[in-house]
Amino acid sequence: MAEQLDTIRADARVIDLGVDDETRARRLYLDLLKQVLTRLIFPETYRPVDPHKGTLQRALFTPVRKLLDAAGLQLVRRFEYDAERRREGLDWPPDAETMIGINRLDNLELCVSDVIRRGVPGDLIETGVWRGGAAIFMRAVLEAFGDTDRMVWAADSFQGLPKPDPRHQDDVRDAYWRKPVLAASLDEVKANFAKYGLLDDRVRFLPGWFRDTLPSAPIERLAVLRLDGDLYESTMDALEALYPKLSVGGYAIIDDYRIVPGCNRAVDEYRARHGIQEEMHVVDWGCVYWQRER
Amino acid sequence: MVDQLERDLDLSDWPASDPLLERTPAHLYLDLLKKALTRLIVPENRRPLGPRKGVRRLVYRPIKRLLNARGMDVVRRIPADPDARQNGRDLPAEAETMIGLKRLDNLEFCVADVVRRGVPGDLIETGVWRGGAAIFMRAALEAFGDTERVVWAADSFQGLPKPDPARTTDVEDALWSYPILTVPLEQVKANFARYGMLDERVRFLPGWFHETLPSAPIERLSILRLDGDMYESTMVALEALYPKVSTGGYVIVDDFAGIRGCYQAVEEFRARHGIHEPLHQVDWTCVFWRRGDRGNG
Repeated sequence: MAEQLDTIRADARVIDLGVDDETRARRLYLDLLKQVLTRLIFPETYRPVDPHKGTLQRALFTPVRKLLDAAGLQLVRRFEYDAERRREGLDWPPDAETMIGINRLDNLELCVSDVIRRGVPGDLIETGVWRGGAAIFMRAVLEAFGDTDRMVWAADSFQGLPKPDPRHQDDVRDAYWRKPVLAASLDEVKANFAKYGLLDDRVRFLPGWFRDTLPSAPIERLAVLRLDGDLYESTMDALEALYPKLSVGGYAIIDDYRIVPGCNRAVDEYRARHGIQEEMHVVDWGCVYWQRER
Repeated sequence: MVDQLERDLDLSDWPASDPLLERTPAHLYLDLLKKALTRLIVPENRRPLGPRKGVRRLVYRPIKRLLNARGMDVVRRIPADPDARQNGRDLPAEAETMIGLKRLDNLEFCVADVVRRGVPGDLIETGVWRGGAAIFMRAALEAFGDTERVVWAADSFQGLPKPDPARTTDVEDALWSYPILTVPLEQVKANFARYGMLDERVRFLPGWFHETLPSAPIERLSILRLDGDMYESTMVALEALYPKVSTGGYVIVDDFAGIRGCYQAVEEFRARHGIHEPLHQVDWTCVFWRRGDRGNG
């Protein structure tokens, strides 16, 4: 398996060195898109002050923010931009449309281009899209490779993470639901797709909590299933509803497997319960993926 | 001047961008690059609040000091003006180009056309500011698979010259006094590098045009993009470089309708050399013509 992927990477390199104009232009496009989506190309300078949900600071700050808003002003904190952290996907960017960093975008390109090349049937989905960056990138890869059929599905509450079930203490400890920076509205995400010229009828949104939207989503088959729901429950709900639809030869990508305990536990449990033996490959400090073999 | 303009302009629909390129990877790339170079991708600027005088300043100063000590600031949110970015009507705070999408579309069309038809010659911009349009030319060559042509970037890299006092129109415009128009060579190079476009096929001609252009080691040009704003800069560039433009190559004048000195220089030069190729309008100020085109009048 690992060998197979090395071959794909080697193929990609050989093609890049070749003379094919279309391949070179595609390389230019996707590389620039990665730089822009991560804002590696033009660093941010400020982060809006936005205290955690359910805190006194937030209660006190909300009227101040409303006043400032009305005057076209904003209270910000100077942002110490660190290109290395951004490249590695280690920070929560103030403006960038994705926080997953270059390695995970590279992995996503590899997976999407591979299913196109091999004709592995099915749509692409990300569960947990934040501002939309990775989903925008998937739509862009389809466009760049001239795919005209597949859909990109973007599943999200579009209101941040849910309050965790008290049974999952690892989720409770992470307290992601309190972090306003993790909430991006559907309008904001749509506007981001539109900004890149990639909002069309081949992008479908599934707004709502995963347990309500995923089991009944009108998805027939998937070629790439990218899980970025951060919690035990979000990950388990997505796997149970969607893994059965993943084609053999398709990819399951888990953004937070190595770093978020709840996510890690959900994946291990699901794999054990369903006898999934495919080898997991490490993408970076947080992300892993496997290719479905049966 | 408007009458003159209308008489000269051929308003027959010249394609703004190349329909053959729609949705190809090259076009996807250049389209994204335009949005990056104009910063359409960043729809809002933030500028720290800082009243310059009066009671407001007195009141705000201690607050600001307090905030700054905590790494904070109050900023004014400045939404980008889509019309300004489309038509290149403002001086953007951070973008590498101020020419707007329509002029970038025109540049894409011209580069695609000379590459496809094999019109020989390098590409030059005279007056590059932060380098955006020149970066775009280099990127377009890359996207279209050209492996030969050089992009020349001619600029003082210290802003515009003080005009000849006899040129009253230039004197009125006083562009030499605008600090934002001064961009050092190192910054322009860094901007090329940021987009991965700084290589041996980009050549810089630093200095005043009358010193650098006549002796520049350029053999032939397929695209001559004039963006020197003033009468003299425009005239010097035309005299030194127009004879090198290949038949079928393009002359693009960024400030034709927007700046009188530039307009006068182009009109005089065209009249003096009997250039009758029709001018095509790109947007509110930019025009171009293709050398060797027969007029339709």
